[in-house]
Amino acid sequence: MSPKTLSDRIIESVVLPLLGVGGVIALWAIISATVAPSLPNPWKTWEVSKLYVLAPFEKRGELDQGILRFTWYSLVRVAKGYSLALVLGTPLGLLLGMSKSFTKSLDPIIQILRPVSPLAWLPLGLVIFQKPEPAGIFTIAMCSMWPTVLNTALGVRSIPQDYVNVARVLRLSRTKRLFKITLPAALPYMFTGFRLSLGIAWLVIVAAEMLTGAPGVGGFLWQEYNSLIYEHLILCIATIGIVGFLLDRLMSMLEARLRTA
Amino acid sequence: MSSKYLEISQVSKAFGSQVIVKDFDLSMQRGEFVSIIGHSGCGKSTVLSMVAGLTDSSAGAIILGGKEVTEPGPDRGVVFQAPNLFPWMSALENVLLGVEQAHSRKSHKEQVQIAAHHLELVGLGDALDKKPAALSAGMRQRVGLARAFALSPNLLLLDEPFGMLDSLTRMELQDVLIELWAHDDKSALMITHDVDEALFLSDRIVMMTKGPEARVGEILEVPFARPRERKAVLDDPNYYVLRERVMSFLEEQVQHEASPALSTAPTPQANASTSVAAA
Repeated sequence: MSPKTLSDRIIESVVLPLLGVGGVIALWAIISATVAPSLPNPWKTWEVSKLYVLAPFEKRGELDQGILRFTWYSLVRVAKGYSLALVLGTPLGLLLGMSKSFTKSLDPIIQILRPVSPLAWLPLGLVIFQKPEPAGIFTIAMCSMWPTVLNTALGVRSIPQDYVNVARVLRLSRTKRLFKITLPAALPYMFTGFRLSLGIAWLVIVAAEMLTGAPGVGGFLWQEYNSLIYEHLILCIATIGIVGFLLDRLMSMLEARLRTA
Repeated sequence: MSSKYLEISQVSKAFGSQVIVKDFDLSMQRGEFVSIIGHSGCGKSTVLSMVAGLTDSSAGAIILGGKEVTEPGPDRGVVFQAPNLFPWMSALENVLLGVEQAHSRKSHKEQVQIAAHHLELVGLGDALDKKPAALSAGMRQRVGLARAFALSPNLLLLDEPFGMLDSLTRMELQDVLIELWAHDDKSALMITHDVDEALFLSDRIVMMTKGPEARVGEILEVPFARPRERKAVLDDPNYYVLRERVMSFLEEQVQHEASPALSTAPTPQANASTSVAAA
């Protein structure tokens, strides 16, 4: 392969992605002008959303705030649910990885709980906690913990037999084996689980806020739908997508740093 | 009584219906260096793993220092074929891991000194803080040696410790090993399929028959005086006589197996093990 010139690289990393975005916006404009007249067109969407984007931290009322302010509320909520998922999921994964009988007894229940939708967990959370806020956090945790559980278990199971033999020959104690060998050896797998879990936690936020009416991107989306301001739905979708993308990139960077360390 | 330090009697190992080793008998004196040589897959490593306490035997007993071996213990240090260092720890931390366990009564400072001292002995005094990824294959195996010796074991178990190294590095490390071994009167049991390595290092060479149901075929005394000089050993007229004995034993094993099928297959193992002689 010949070395890429600067202009090649600019085309690849700037021009092509812009073309893609432009194409999608054009398609959106065409669709709203033809088959779906109730779908706001790009220009109208910007006109109506501008206030929320240009004053992103403004607070005008409980459910009338700048988009980044809403994003912040959602991020805090996700952080709580996600932390709970890690706190529960990591030790559970370690146990599953280390004990065969534990795996045999818990694997069926995990496989059954894993595909349950956030829309199903949330009412149960409301029943248990009687308040929307903890119910939302519970929902985020219940949906997002599984990749952490399964990848941690996989990481522990994938520790090379050679490492196990060395640990036995050196007669390391249980705690030392856990902290000096099992955890570092499983860490790359665990981090993949953490990254996937964060993705799900963010995915679930809309469902959690929609049903509880809590302020945040998802709550805002649902309220604006009910108020028939459809332009804001698109604003919310774009925001959720961009934030999710940034979170994933952030975790990927941490992950890459971990692998080279 | 005290002359027999290690006694392996009538030991067998089966995995399912496959009998790998059958009625393996060997006794070793304190301070002896014994090599076990045989074809790949004949069960040499299984024997070593049973002495290390990493694998249970199916029948028979292994008595070490008057006690039956049932699990790994502080009296044995193991050097694996791959150095098996933990990549997230420096050379010093890798050695220290075992030292902390073996010398748990000592202060942390003393433990660090012991670990550093053994890395110096294997010539890695300058590389204490390097991660395994920054070390060459030979240097990594040096750390493996240091890790085993730093535990101050009475018996060293070496499972083809230099099998993955080029011949020059291999000879260098053989010298390091023999020096460490002679240093404080340890016993050593080494698996190898390199005839020259076995001749240079051992007091006795145990030749195993080809599996399945492998056992001790012949035992060869290696009479060269210690301390050994590589050149003196190679110049000894006995060297080639002994070497021939081992080679013909190994070749017989292959022919023995191949004879019913009227095969003219070459003997890859025997050829592989001569390669070092040319170096």
